[in-house]
Amino acid sequence: MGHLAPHSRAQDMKLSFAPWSQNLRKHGDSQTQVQIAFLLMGIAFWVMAKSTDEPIMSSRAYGDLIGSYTAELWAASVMLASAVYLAGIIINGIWRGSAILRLIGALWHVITLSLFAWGGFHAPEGKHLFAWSAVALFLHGRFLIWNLGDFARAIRVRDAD
Amino acid sequence: MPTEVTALEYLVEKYGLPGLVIGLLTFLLIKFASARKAETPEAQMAAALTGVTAELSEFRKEIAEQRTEMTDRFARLETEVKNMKERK
Repeated sequence: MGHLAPHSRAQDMKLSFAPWSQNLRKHGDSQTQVQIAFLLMGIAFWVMAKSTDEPIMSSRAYGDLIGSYTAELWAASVMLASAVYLAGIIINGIWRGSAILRLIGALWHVITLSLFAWGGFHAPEGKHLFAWSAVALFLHGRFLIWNLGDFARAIRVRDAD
Repeated sequence: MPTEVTALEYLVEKYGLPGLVIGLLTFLLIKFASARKAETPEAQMAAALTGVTAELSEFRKEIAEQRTEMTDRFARLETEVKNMKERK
């Protein structure tokens, strides 16, 4: 008499959904577009800073703190934060810890944008900088919270394993 | 030296940090695009469904075999009982 399967193969098969970002499933396009925009902005600032000897981020428009460092440094900061975030979006789930890349990218953006907002708030001609930095900061604050959720889920599933 | 490293070196030399960033992101995109397609939850679900369907058809075949075996055995026993009754 043949052997009857005691349980289904579906039960044997491990379906690992948790490392796949739930927030990217819902809001992935907006995050990708925003990060590409910030990456291009960082590249534009980098190219501008490299193509001229004059400081493109003056203390009058950007505040003393931003003005005391080179524009290349700020451009590199924005560019690298976006690159790390985009790497997290591209890798999404294939490496379980990919949520941490997006978390680092969002946190990096939040810190940089907070400094921009602070600089704009205190600079005599910084109201435009302050306005866009505040909007971008709000956006990245949301990204940070969404990715914290993904990170928590990835850790919880690892514990369950 | 691998082609990727040579390409990355060229980009860094020509474009600096933006070249490195764009190069690395492109490399990641190429490396993970196909793997991502195969490992999405949808793809995993489709693979599980195929597995379960195959298992079901195997189970059906097994049931049919057992039914045939049981029917044959029943017929054999019936014949045996009939013969014994006749001998009696």
